[in-house]
Amino acid sequence: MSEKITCIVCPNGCEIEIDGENISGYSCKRGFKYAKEELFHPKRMVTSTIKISGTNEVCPVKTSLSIPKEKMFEVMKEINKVTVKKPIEYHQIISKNVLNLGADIIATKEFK
Amino acid sequence: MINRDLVIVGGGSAGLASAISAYDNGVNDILILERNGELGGILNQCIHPGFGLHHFNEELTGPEYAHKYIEELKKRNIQYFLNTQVISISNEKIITYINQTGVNTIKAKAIVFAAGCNERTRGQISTPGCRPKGVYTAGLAQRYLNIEGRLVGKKVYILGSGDIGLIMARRMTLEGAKVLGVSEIMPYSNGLKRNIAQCLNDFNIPLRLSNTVTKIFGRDKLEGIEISDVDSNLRPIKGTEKYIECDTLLLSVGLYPFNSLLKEAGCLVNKETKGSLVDQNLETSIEGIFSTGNVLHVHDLVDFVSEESERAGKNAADYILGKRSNVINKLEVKHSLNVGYVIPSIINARSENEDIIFSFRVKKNIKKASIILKNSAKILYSCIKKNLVPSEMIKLKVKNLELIGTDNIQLEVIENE
Repeated sequence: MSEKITCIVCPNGCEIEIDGENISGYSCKRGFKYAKEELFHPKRMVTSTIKISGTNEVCPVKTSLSIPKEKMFEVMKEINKVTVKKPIEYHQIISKNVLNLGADIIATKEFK
Repeated sequence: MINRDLVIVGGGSAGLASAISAYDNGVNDILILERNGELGGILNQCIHPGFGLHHFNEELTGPEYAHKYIEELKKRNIQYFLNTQVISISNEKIITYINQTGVNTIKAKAIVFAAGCNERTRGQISTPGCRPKGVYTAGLAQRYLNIEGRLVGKKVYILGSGDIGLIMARRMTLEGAKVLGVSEIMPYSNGLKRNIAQCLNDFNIPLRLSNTVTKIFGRDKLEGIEISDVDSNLRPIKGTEKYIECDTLLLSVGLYPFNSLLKEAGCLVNKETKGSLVDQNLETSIEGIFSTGNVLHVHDLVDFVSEESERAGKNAADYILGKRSNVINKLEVKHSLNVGYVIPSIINARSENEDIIFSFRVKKNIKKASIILKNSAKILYSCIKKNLVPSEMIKLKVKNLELIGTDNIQLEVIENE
């Protein structure tokens, strides 16, 4: 049984075919890794924003690592619980080890 | 009036890359004029990952990509004015701008115009029905959510499969909105394949191809829409109408260069891109005025904007420093019917052979094509490319292209079986 997936690693969007242990159609190492992961345990990076307390602004954040796809909404819930204060450093850790998934929530922009 | 060597209009991805490159190529007197309150342009609202894989060889979010450039800019002490709106540019390279200090003018030796693009609006696609609130362009809704922290609606439909619409489908879903579907009038998607996969398929959001919004309902607030399938002439098919209840309609129906200032300056316009007509150095029809990024032609990847803008910055520096030799031949760049546009439109050859970068889009999906550059006498270059789609710009770097003995070069894309 073979399955076709679209690689999301880069804008080329290669069509990768997974047939049992056989993976074909990728054009880089990253694509191969993605396909393997997608087969056994799909992961995604989550990006969102966090309210900056005392302002009308929000700070963009991301998970420092990709997290299991099925945990995306739970991670969003955690992100929406938090607020942050200025100043915010670039790549400042906002929440450590979110839901024990091994990834931190980090700021992707600095606010002085 | 103040004199400056190089003025860059726009402090987004194109303006930042141009400024850094011009500086590194020997011009120190640079001023960036940015209308927003911060540098980085649209990157600031594109908080999702996927940027920088070509340029930095790592995956970055929009704000991170901007951060890297802003840091480089600061290292070089390049000057910029924020909250500054340019209101006119003359063919003498006199720039008039407004900010808190009032109305000011600058005479520049060279200008890099990097003002970005606008979203097409409801008026430009003539959707019939009421005019309630709740209808937004996708980029505007993205700004509200990612910069101002406001979600515009809870039950969302999206017209157009452009990347911003797809990205917003995922973003609003994660924020708790229900995205009911995406309609695309063309038989193919306009967005990147990976965005269909990770923004729609991941969340089971249906994509309806050859389908469009045919009516908008609601007096004050949007109450619902009617969608219909379309035939091969893109006309709605009677009997296929479907009512969808929603409070938000996002339009992701294309972008166009925000080029009016250069048009008013007298720079010739490329009718196919709606940006300026430029040569291989990204120089417009007015000497010393360069155009780059989305104001020249709409890109799908910021990495390509950066690359193009680095060239624009270097070329502007070479012009200012008098490093250029004389033009020995002028060539027109033409293209075959299945090509939507090609940049450059002309080549001002300064030597017999030059490395030239062509950027172009095809008009339809082509599985395998021969790409040929030829003049009236012979073929100059050819290669094979696979899986060409209109939504993905193609870049062709041609080394040592012969530029003499002819007044034109034709780009042909020939479909192979």
